[in-house]
Amino acid sequence: MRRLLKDPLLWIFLVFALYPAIPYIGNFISLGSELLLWFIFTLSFNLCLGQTGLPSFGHGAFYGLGSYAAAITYLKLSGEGGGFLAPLVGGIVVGTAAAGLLGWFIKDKRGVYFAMLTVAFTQVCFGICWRWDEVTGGEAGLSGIVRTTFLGIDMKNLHNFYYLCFVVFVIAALIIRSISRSCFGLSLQSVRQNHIRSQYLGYNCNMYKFVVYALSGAFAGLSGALYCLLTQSAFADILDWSKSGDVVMATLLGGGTVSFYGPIVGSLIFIICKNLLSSLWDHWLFIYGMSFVIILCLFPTGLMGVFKRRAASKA
Amino acid sequence: MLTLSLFLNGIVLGLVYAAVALGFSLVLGVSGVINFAHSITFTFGAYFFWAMYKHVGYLPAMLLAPAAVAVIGFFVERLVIRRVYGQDPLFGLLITLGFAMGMEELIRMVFGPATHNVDAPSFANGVIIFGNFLYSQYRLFIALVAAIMVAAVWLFTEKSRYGTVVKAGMFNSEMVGALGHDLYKMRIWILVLGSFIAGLAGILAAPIWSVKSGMGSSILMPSFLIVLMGGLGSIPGTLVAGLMVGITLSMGVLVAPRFVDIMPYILMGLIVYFWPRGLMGQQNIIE
Amino acid sequence: MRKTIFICLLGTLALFFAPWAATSQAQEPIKIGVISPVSGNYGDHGALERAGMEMALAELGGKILGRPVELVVADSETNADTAGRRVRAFIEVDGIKLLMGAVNSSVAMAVAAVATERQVLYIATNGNSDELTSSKATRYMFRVAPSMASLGRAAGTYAIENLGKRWFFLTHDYSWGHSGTRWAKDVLTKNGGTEVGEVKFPMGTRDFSAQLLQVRDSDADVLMITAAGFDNVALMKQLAEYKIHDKMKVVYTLQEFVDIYPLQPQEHRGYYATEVSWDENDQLKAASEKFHQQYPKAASPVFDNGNYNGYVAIMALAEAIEKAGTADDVEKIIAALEGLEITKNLRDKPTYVDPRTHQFLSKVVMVEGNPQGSGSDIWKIIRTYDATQFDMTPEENPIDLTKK
Repeated sequence: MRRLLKDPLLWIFLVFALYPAIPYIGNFISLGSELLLWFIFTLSFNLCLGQTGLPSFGHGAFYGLGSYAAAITYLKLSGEGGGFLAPLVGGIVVGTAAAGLLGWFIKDKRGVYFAMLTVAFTQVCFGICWRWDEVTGGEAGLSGIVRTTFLGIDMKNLHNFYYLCFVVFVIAALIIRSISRSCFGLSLQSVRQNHIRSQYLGYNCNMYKFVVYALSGAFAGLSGALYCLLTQSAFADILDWSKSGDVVMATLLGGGTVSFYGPIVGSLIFIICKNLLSSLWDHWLFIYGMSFVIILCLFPTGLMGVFKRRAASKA
Repeated sequence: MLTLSLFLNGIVLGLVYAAVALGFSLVLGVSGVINFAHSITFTFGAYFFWAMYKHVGYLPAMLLAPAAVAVIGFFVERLVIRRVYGQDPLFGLLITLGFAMGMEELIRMVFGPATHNVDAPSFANGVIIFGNFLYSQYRLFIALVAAIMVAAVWLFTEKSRYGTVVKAGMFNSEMVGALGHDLYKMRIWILVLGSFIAGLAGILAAPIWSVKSGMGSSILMPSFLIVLMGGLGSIPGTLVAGLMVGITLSMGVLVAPRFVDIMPYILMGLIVYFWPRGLMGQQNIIE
Repeated sequence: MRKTIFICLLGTLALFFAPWAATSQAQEPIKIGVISPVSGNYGDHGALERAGMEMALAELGGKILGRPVELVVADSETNADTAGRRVRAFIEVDGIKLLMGAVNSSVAMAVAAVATERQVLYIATNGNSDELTSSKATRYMFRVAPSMASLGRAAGTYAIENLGKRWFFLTHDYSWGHSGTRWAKDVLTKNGGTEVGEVKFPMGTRDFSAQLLQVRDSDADVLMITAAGFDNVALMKQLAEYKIHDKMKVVYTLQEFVDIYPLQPQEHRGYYATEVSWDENDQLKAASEKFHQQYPKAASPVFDNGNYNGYVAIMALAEAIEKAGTADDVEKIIAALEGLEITKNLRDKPTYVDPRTHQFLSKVVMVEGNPQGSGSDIWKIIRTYDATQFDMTPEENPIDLTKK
C-alpha cells in the first residue's frame, strides 16, 4: 500500500481524474483531453528515445497516419451510429504497420542516419497525404466525423469524452511502464547504453529496435486516433516534420532521457506554453525558441534531470 | 531538346544547392554539430543584403553582408553551439532548431513581416538564348559564384596547411587536439566560415525568391539531405550530391511534377540505405 | 523527492492557467473571436485582415447594438490543427459565440468543424476553396471571399474572349489550386479552346526554372496560373526572369495586391482576377487612404482582398446583429445574415448573402499589371464582373442550407 502511495503515476492519475473539477482549469476540457493523449504519445515516444536511444523524428507520421486511419475507418466502414472502437483499432493497426515497416528497413541504422531516414519517411507521408485528395481530402482534410455513443455513454458530451481519454491513458501508461520495467525494457536500455556490448552478449539488437519501434508506433497511432475523435477531423499538417520535432522537444525538455515521467512533465509544459504564450504576445515564438535554448543549455538532461541531480546530491 | 535544357538547368541548380549545403557540411564535419541555425544565417544574409545593397552597391554588399553574418555566427558559437560540442548530435540539432525559431521571429520583429524585393544586378539581368536553349544570366552568375565557393573551400581543405588540420579534425578530433592544435579555435573559425558561406548563399537566392523571414527553412532540409547523401564532411561528396538533387528536381518535372518535392527524400533514403555513410563518407567524429 | 515533483507539477499547472482565469471574468462586451495567423510566415496577411476588422469597428464607433465590441485574437499559425485547438479554447473558456477570420481554406474548414460542433457562428474571411460553400458547407459558417468558381471563371472568361484559346495550366498542388484550374478549364472546354498542358507544382516550391522551361517549350497563348503565398512571389519574379511574358499572356485566377506590391515594375505584368481593387471607386480610394494613415506598417498600403474581407465581415456581422436585435442568440443572427444585403461594403452595390450556400456575393475584378507603375499604382482595372454570374450554380453545387 505504501509503495502504491509513493507511486507518482497514481498521483498523476488522481490529478487528471479530478481535472474537470479543478476550479478554472477544469474549463479547459478539450485541452485536458489533448494533454492526456499527448501523454500517451510522448510516453510511447520515450520508449524509443529515452529507453532505446532511437532518435526518431518520424513519430508525427504515425500520429498523423493514426488520425487519418481513424477518420477513414469511421467514414468508410463504421459510419454514423457505427462503433467507436473501430476507429481506435484502425489507428493502432495503421500506426503499428507504418512504424513496423519503417522500423524493419532502418533497424540497423544509428544516430543521425536513423533520424534522417525517419524524417524522410515523414516527409514522404506528408507529401502524399497533402495531395491525395480522394483519400485524405488533401489540404481540406477529412471532416464529418461525429462522436456517437460508446457503451451507451453519449460521447458528444466533452466530459464523457475526456474520461474515455483518461481511461485509455491510464491503461496505456500502465502498459508502457510495465514494458519499460520488464526484461524487454531493460534489454532496450542495454541496447542504448552499449550497442556493441549487448550484441556480444547475444542480444539481437536490431530485432529489439524493430519491435520497440513498432510498439511505440502503435501507441502513437492510438493517440492520433483519439486526437481525430477529439477534433472530429483529420489534417495533413500534423504529419509535417516540424510536428515530429515538437514531440522530441517536449520529451527532451521534460527530461525523457533520465526519467520515465519526463515526457509527462515535458508535454504538460510544452502544450500549456504553446497555448498560453501565443495569447500574450504576437512574437511569442521568439520567447518560446529562446527559452527552449536557455533551458536546455542550462539543464542538458531536461527538467526531470534537475530533480534527479538534486535528489542524488541529497542522498 | 527540353530534356537537355532541363538537365543543364539541373546542373546550375545543383551547384547552388551544393554551395548552400557546404557550410552545413563543414560545421557538421569539424564540430559534429548539426547546425539548424544554418537556415537563419541564410536568411540574415538576405536581409542584411536587402538593407544595404542600394546604399553601398551590389558587389560591396555581397562581401559586407556575409561578413556581418559571420559576426553573428561568431556570437552564436560563443553563446549556444559551444555548449553542445561532444553531446549527442541530435541534442545540438534541437537546440539550434529552437534558436533558429526564435531568431526567425526576431527578424520579423526587426525587419517587419512583409516580403521585400531585391533586384538582380544590372550586369546579369537578362537571358541568353541559343536556338531553343534559354539561360537566365543571373542563374549563370549564381552558378559561377557557387562553383567558385565550392572550389575555394575544396582548395582550402586539400591544399592549405590549416585545411589539412581541419580535415584531420573531422576524423579524429582528440588526436588533433593532442598534437597541439587548438581545436576550439578551429571550431569557431569553421562556424564563422560556414555562416559566411550561408549568408552569401542567401544573397544569391534573394533576387529569385524575394526576401521573407521564412526563406531559410526551405533550404534547411535539402542541405541536410545533401550532406548525408554526400557523406559527412566530404566536399566532393557534397558537390556530387548537390548536383544529383539539382538534376532530380529539374528532370523530375518531366516524370512526376507533383512529387518533385519528395523526390530528394526518396533519393536520400535509397542512398543512405545502400551506402550507410553516404556516397563519399568515411568514418568521422559523430559516430 | 517524488512529492516535490508532484507539487511542482500542480504549481506549474496553476501558474499557467491563472492569467486565463483572470481574463474570463467580465461578460458585458460583445466578444468576437478572431482566428488568424499572428506569428509565422503569413503573419503579415493575418495582420492585414485584422486591420480591416479594426478599421470597420472604429467606423462603427466600437459599438454594436450599443454594446462595446472586443476583438479577441488567437494565433492560427496558418495551421488547421492549431486553429481548431485555439478555437475550442475560445468557446470553452471565453464563452465566445462569434468567430471570424482565417487567411486560408484549410484553417477555415477546421474552424468551421468546431463551430458546427459547438453551434457558434463563424464568418470565414479569406479562404477561397469551393468546398467551404459546397461539400463542407455548414449552417454555422458564412464566407466573405468569393469562391474559386467565381474567380476562376472570371479570369477564364476574360482570357478566352481577349487573350487566346490555347492554354497551359500551372497549378499549386493542393485542393485550392486544383479548384482554380478546374473552373478555368470549365470555361476553356465550353468555349472550344485547347488545353496544351498542365504542370502541378508542390507547396513550398521556390525554384520554378524546370516548370518554366517546360512552359516555354509549349506553344500556348495563355499561361493560366493558380498559385498563392510566398511561392507565388517567387514564381512571379521568375516569370519575368525567364521572359515568359514575351511568349504568352500570363493570367492568374486569383492575385493579391500584397504579393505584387514588393516586386519590381517589370514583374507586375500579367492579367489577374482579384476580389477587390482599391481604385474601383471613390469610396474605396478614400478608405484606402485612411487605411494607410492608420496602418502605415501594414503589408499593403491600400485595401486588398485581406483587409477588405475583414472589413466586410465586421460590417455584415454588425448589420445582422442590429437586424436580429441580439448578439447572444446565434440562431437568430444566422437567420438575419441569410439573405442580408450589406450596404456598408464601400461599393455602389450591396453585398448579398446567399441563403442557399452562405456565400457573400459581390464583385470580381479583372486587372492588368502595370509594368511602369510604382507605389500603389501597380495595376489598372480592365473589367468588373458580378460574382453571381460565375458562382457555382445549383446544378454544380446542390447544397441547400435553407433546408434543415
